[in-house]
Amino acid sequence: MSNLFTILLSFVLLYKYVALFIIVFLSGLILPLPSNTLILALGAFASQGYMNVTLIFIVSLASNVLGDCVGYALTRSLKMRNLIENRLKHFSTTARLKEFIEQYAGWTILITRFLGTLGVVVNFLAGLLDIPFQYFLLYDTIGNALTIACFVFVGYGLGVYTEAYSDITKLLGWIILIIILIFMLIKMFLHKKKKD
Amino acid sequence: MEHQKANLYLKIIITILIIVLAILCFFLVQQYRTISQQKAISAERFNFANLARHHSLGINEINLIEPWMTFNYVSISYKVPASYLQTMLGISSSTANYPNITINHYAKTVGTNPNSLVEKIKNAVQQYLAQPRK
Repeated sequence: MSNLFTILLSFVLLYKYVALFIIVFLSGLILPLPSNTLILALGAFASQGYMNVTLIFIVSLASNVLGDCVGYALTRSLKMRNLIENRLKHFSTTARLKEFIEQYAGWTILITRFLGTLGVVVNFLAGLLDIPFQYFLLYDTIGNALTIACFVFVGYGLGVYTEAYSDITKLLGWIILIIILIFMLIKMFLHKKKKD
Repeated sequence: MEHQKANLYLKIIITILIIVLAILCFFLVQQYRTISQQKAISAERFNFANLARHHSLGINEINLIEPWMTFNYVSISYKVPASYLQTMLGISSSTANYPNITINHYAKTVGTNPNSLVEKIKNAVQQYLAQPRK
């Protein structure tokens, strides 16, 4: 278990829901904190009677949505937008990502709630692209509710074996990513061969 | 020529990724076997009717006690009274915020090694759990 993670766990054991709110809010806003893994661990704490599952869900959802909305609002404000647009216009991948998000805004927001730091990037881009706030809030809330419910439920069910399970999920994440990369590269290779 | 080089690089990268994928799948199977032996994944644990029941920790889970935990958490999860731990470990009644302090913090306060304090806590919890219950 990493040093940072044990510090976060101690913080939550001492200050419970207040600590949970602060950590998840900051993670939703900008900081790369392991909030999903933390919620998994809190599910385990709840299974032992130390915390309440329903309160963990409500506090995590509220703070996550709030953090995402603040991130969205920051880029929506005029000064931040000019600053970011001037920096990002030099990257061609940003233009492609912008196109993708404009076309599939709802699904992008929803799916990236499961993907940690990528969710934060999408929050900023959603504000930059003037995605309507009600639309952003709806998909953000649904995505966060599903993510948090999954992690709390799995943490509660696995209890003390949560740490072993989080190693498996990390491995699964890498395996899925590599399979997608292999698939994309094979597609690229076949496309080139066809062109030749 | 350039096309052939690009195709060759693509083939090499795809081969490397397949090898990495095979290695990761091997580790995944190893992890799953470990968890299966511990009976961590079973349908019963995820039964909605069981979700309301708390799974307190027992003698077999004593090794899970770590310095980042609080005395309050140890007390609640192992169902060991905080006062019992206080007596067994010689924790003064004037210790601020006990039992809501981390084992690490208490060890630093009294100038002792956190890991040796954890061993004492494990022994105390083990002794308590070994007592016959009414």
